[in-house]
This record gives sequence, structure tokens and C-alpha cells, in this order.
Amino acid sequence: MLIINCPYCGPRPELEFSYAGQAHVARPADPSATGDDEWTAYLYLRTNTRGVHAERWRHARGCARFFNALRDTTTDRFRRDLSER
Amino acid sequence: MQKYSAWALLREAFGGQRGWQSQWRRASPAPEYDAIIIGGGGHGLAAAYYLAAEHGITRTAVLEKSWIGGGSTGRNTTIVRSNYLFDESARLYDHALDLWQDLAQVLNYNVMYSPRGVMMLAHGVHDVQVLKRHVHANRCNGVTNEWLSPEEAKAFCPPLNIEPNIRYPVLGAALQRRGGTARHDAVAWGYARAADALGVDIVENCEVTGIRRDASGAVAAVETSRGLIKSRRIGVSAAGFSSVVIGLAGVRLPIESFPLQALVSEPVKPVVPCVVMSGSIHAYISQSDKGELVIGAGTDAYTSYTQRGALHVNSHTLAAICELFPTLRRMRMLRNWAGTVDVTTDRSPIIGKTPVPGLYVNCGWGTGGFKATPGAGHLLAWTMAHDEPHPIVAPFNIERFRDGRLIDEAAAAAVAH
Amino acid sequence: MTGQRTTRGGRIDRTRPVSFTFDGRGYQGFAGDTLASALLAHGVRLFGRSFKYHRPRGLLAAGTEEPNALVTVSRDAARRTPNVQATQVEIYEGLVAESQNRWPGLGFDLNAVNSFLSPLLTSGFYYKTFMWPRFAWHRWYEPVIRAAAGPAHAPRLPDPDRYAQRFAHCDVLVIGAGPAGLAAALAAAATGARVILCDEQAEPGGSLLDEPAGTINERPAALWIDEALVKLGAQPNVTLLRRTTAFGYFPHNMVGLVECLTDHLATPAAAAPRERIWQVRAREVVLATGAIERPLVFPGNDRPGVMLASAARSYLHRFGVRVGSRIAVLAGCDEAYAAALDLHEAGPVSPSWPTSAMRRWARARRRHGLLVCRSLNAPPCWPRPVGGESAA
Repeated sequence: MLIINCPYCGPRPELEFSYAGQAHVARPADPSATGDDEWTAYLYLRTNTRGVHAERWRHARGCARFFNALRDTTTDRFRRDLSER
Repeated sequence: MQKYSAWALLREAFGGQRGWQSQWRRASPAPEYDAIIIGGGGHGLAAAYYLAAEHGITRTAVLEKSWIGGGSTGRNTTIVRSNYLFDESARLYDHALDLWQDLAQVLNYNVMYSPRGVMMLAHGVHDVQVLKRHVHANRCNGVTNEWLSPEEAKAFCPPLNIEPNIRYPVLGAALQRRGGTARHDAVAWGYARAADALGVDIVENCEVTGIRRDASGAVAAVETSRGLIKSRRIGVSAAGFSSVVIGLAGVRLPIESFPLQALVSEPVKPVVPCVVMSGSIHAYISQSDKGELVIGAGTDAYTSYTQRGALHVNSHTLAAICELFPTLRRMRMLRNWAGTVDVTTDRSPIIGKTPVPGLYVNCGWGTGGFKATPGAGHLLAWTMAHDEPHPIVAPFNIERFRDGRLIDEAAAAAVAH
Repeated sequence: MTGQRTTRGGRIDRTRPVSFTFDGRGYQGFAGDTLASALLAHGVRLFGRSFKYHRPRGLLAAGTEEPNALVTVSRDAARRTPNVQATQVEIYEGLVAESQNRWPGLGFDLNAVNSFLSPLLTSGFYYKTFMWPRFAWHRWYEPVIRAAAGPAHAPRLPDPDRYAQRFAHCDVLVIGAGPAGLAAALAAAATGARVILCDEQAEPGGSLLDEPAGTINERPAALWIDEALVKLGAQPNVTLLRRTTAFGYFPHNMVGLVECLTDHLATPAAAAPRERIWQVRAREVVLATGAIERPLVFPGNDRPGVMLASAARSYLHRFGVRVGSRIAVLAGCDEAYAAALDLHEAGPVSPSWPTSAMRRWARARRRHGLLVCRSLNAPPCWPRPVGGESAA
């Protein structure tokens, strides 16, 4: 079970969190003007990085807020100081 | 290929066991091949075997970064079934199930396919409706599946607890009698041996580090830890590492890789006669020929390539198992491990061509790729040989995500994945 | 090799005899005995049968590394626990244990016929046959193989026992309460850190329990252990868990422990949990698990009577059991000297060594009247496997 550093509440066990996938996936500003490929990328394509992965977590059973974190998917270690609000 | 049989065993028994040949050569990579398969798991080895056996493409290499069968093939819980909801899935998985029937004879290698029945439990009204829908849909597609009352389920699997006052009461079960288990290592070794006998090079400890493309954009070669290897036909069958491998060619896949854990108990005499699965509480159990209870859990919550997971995931699964099988509570677990599974949004695989000419993919099998091993290899080989998708896998193309034609077994399973 | 109880010594309580049964026969041991040591003291040599060929198997070890002596222990019909290592079972009054994987009995096991079929049952034979006719694997062959596999029966009745679990946090988790673990726990506790110290054995001390003559800081080892335990016990920031096995090291320093609470008691309280799972989150983890002796490879090394030198010492010093009357010592590590000397003090011993570097030591020891064989390439001094032929 990971220890995840919520930038609002501090380090907490993984059970308190929901994983919310890759970070910085921006919804296209005007979906009706967005082509199929771009929309597909937004909906489905993910980096699935092997290495340092920028991802979102939600402290669902805590403060309920989303935040970003960097985690190395080959070790599951967080770059703790780099969690951001 | 040296033929295996009871007579061969007898002959070697009297011959001091000196006549056995190694099952496959320890091949070094040649400079060029007609086809390359990246990934030496069951799927990749099967694809190489069928390329050689059915399409005459014997100048084929399987490149494996570690040892064959050491990834998801060696880490899964060996369940074989085909009771999926949608028409496309029914055709795909039942094709594999058909191939399982005589795989041991085809490969001359006992893969121990054992149709001992796969029983999926319903714990609530919603589960009952979902599983009955599966039974009906399967029957429409000619896939065997039947509905059992709790009493019938217990008669089929005596240690099952069907008391109504438990946390996950059994309200019924869907039983696919043709489903069961097979011996995972034997599947990899059997395909490796048969492919090798047809001239396929199985190259272990050979990690692909780059995919080269020519001026037209088509694949031309792979860079590996053992040098450059040319080929104009490359199939990627790298399971949890598919994103990484196919990313070398600049292609992005709609998959994410998660840890999936499993456990085995100490060995005991036969006690669980079939496979029992419960989607809604993320637990499944069967018993191996050696006597170990083989138990699987749900995936961990986050993407990872570590091949390890957390204790609370197993605890949750074992709590469910202990309640469903109260006679097994004193049993102890011997080993626990994790693999990396490649999960698509719709929990259906991706098989077929990619936007890069000459590059083919077989991935996205998620938590259930083992059952499809013969089928996936067979259909990937056909697709590579013809440079067009086999009709069965045609719906499982990459473009389905763009076109909105998902084959949504994730929703069909009605499980909180 | 026939074991016998020494007249004194060991950490057992000779004033508290304990009766138990093994395969229906009554035996008596002492409080502090394991099932293995108590049976060994009665001259029992045969503890089990091997998985495939049903070769006779005796004790190889004295601790959790024991591979042979798997038994089923039952309190009642619903409380049958299969596949327990006899070296890990603490005896209690009325304990009932049975041997496994034999028919009709441990001494005469008809399945041992597999040994004669061993040329046919070569490694991986099952991949090479049982393929004809097609349907027969599932219907004919597999049921027979399944029935033959599995050394014991799973319980047939629902388990009536209760189990508990606990989450815990600490600054330092020390796994193993031998000399290194105790020292680590003392050092960590002195800084005020929250310490959890766990050990799979009933009694802390680890390898020191096998070394009554050993000293630490010029004090007898036993005294040092007692002092360490008193010091640790007096500190509220220290939790000592006995009979507690660390079974898994999970991400971010999460360690799973299982604490056995009642299996060693003759009459556990009705509501008492049998085991407790600890999920410990530690800031630092100290692995002080000690070492286990690597067994030597030679024909027949699985036969009853062949035992690790360290195990022989352990039986002598912890349980007051001399593992045999005529003992040859052969080991690939320093344990050989200590074992030879200790066992020699309780009777004559003829050790043999694999390397010449020990000659000086051997000369010195001869002065003590120890018989030392000089052969380097072994055969003249191989222990003769009890019970006949050797395994290829």
C-alpha cells in the first residue's frame, strides 16, 4: 500500500485515495470543433509511461481534493517534493 | 522434432535418459528474418508457431527480453473460458477455446487443458441479471453457458458456502463446462518446441530497444540488446510492456499497465473441483494438478511496471475466499506475486495492423490473456501473413476507439474495474 | 542415527512433562519441546515421505527451513491444520499429530513403489505423455495425478476459529530477535523511536539459543538476552511480537506479519483469536533474519539420519536432545567445528572436512580426543545413507 503525500493533508495511506490517471490531459476547448483523432487522444490515448509519470490522485476519503504527483512507475516511488496543488 | 509419448519415456527409461534432446535451440539472432515477433510469452510463441506451421513463414524469430514464458504467461492463474457477452468477443474467445481442445496433440506436448468448468457467482440481484444476460447471449452465439441455482452450484462445487446469511451470498451461478484450466508453462514450452522444430529462432535475453522505419515509413529493422535485426514484418506481443515497445515506432496505444496479483496455497488433495470466479468481489480460485489452490485478485489501483502490488488487495480477495469457502480458512498461502497487465478502456484486446506499415500488434488482453493464447497467436499470424486482419479480429482494431465502436466487455461485466 | 534425551541441559522445562500422540502412538516430551525435538528424543527417525517418490524422510533442520517433516495437527475434527512443520509445532498436553503422504502407513508406504518407477517418472514426464486419446487427460489421467499429488487433506469442516488483524505504524521494524535484531532494537529504542521487534520463534534469542557457551560483551549469551529483554520490556515504545512471521515486504515499507496466538496452547480461550495479521508501516525496516545452513549435496542426502550440523546443535542446546549416538560431521561452514565439539562433549564423534584449511584446527582437536578424518574427496567418509540405495 503506497504512502501518498496529499499536498493539503500530508502523507496518508493509499486506501484514502482514488487514482485519477495521467495528469495534464486537457479537454479540448471546443469539442464540436475537435477532429476525431484529437478527441480520441483526449479520451483514450495515454502515455502509460515506464519511468516518471505525471498523474492525478484524489484524496477521496480525506479532503476530497485533486492534486498532481510524479511517481516512477518502475519503483512506485513518488517524487515527494514535487506534488503540486 | 523428437516425438513425445509413453513409448519415448519407456525407451529413455531403459536408455539412461541420454536420448532426450533440448526442447528448443538456444538461438542467436540472424541478421534478417521474414518475420519478427517481439515478446516470448505464450501469445508470441503461438504466433511464431502458426506463422511457420500454417503460412510457411519459417524464417521467423521470437525476441524475448528475459526468458520465455516469464512474464504474464508465467504469472497468470491459468483460467480458460469464452463466456463473454458481445458477438465479436464470443467469436474471438470461442475460436481460442476450439484450439485448446486438441492443442496437446497438435503440439505433441501435454498442455493439460482441463475442461473442469468455470463457474461465475452472482451475489446480488444485479449480478443475477448480468450473468443471466451473459448465459442467454452466449447461447445465441453458440457458446456453452448455463445457469445454476445456488443448490446446483454447490452440487457442482461442494466446498462452496451457499448460506444466505453471509456477506456475499450466492444467489446463483453461470457455468461454462467447456471452460477450465491449462498448464501455463507447458503452453509456452510446447509452442516454443513446436516452433523451433519448424525453424523458428527463439532468442532469449534479447531486449528490443528501437524500431527502425524506412523512407516510406514502413518497419525495416529492430535494434536490440543483441544487435540490429532486419525484418519488414514485425508483430508486437509484449503484454504489459506493449506501450513501451510499440512506442518505439511512434505509435500510441489506448492502454494502461496495472499490477495484477495472484497467490497459491500449500498443496492439498483435491478439494476445489472447478474454477470459481466472482467478478463483483474480485476473487477467483481453482486447484492446480499439484494440489495448490490458485487464487487471483483484482488489479491494484494505479499504473505500474514494478510487477508487485499491495497487501490490502490480496487481503480483500482472501477475505472473500474465506467466506465463500469456510473449510479453506486454515490453509496458508505459499507464494504471492504480481504481473503487469495491459488494460484497454473497453477491456477488449487490440489485434491487427497499426498505422505503421509492417507493424502488427496483439495487446490489451488485460487480466485475461492466457485463455486466448492459441487464438491470439493463430489470428495474429494470419493477420501478419496476409497483411490484413483476420475476419474474427477485424473488429478488434485500433481504430475502434476513434470510430466509437468499442466492444465494451468492461461495461458488460458490470464490475467496478 | 537415533536420538536420545540428554540428562541435563537444554531450554526445556524437565519438571513439566507433556503427553501427545503421533500417528496414534502416545509420547511424552517436556514443555518447551517442539514436536520434532520430542519425537527425536524418543528415537523417532522417520517423519514423512517425499512428494513424488515417497522416499523416507527424517528431520533435516530444527527451524522453519525444515523441508521434510510436514505433519497434520488437529485439535478436533474442524481444527485440522495440514502441512505444518514438526519443527515449528510447540507441543501441548493432548496434541494430536499425524504423518502425511503415505499409505497405509509411514513405515510401510505402498506409494514408495514410485521410487522403482523413477526412470519413467523423469522430470517433466507429464508433459511428454497422457495425450492419447484426446479426452483422456481430463477424464482418466488427471484425476489419478491429482489424487496422488497434494501431501495432505484440506480441512473438511468450516474453520470455527477467529482471526484478528491490526494496522500498526512504527519508526523501526526489526525482523528477527537474534543477537543482531535484539541489538538493533535496543539501539533504536534508546533513541526514543517506536520499535516493533518480531520473531517467528516462541523465544527471542535466535542463534544465541544454540550457543550456551557464547558470550556477548564478555557476558554469557543467555544473560545478555535476558537483560536485553528486560530493557526492551521496560520501554513503552517497544513492542515485542513472539511467534510472529514476517511474510511479505510490500511497497513503501509495508510489511505483513502473522502472529500465532493460540496454536501452542492446550486450552485456548474460546473467544481468543488464533492468529493476527499485522500490516506494519515502518519508517525503517531492519532485516535481522540470520542465516540458515546450506545443505551439502551428495547421494542419499535426503535420507533419515542426515541433518544440518546447525540443527544438531540446536537440538542439543535448546531441547536437550542428542541426535544420535554415532555421529559423523560433514559441513561446508564453521558450524561443523562447533557442532562436532558440542556433540563430542555428549559422546564420541568422527568429523570429516571437505577442505585442507582445517587441518590445523583438526590437529588441535585431536588432542581433545576427537577423531578427525582427513579425506578431501569424501567417498571413504561419506555417511552411509540409511535405508539403502542412493538417489541419482
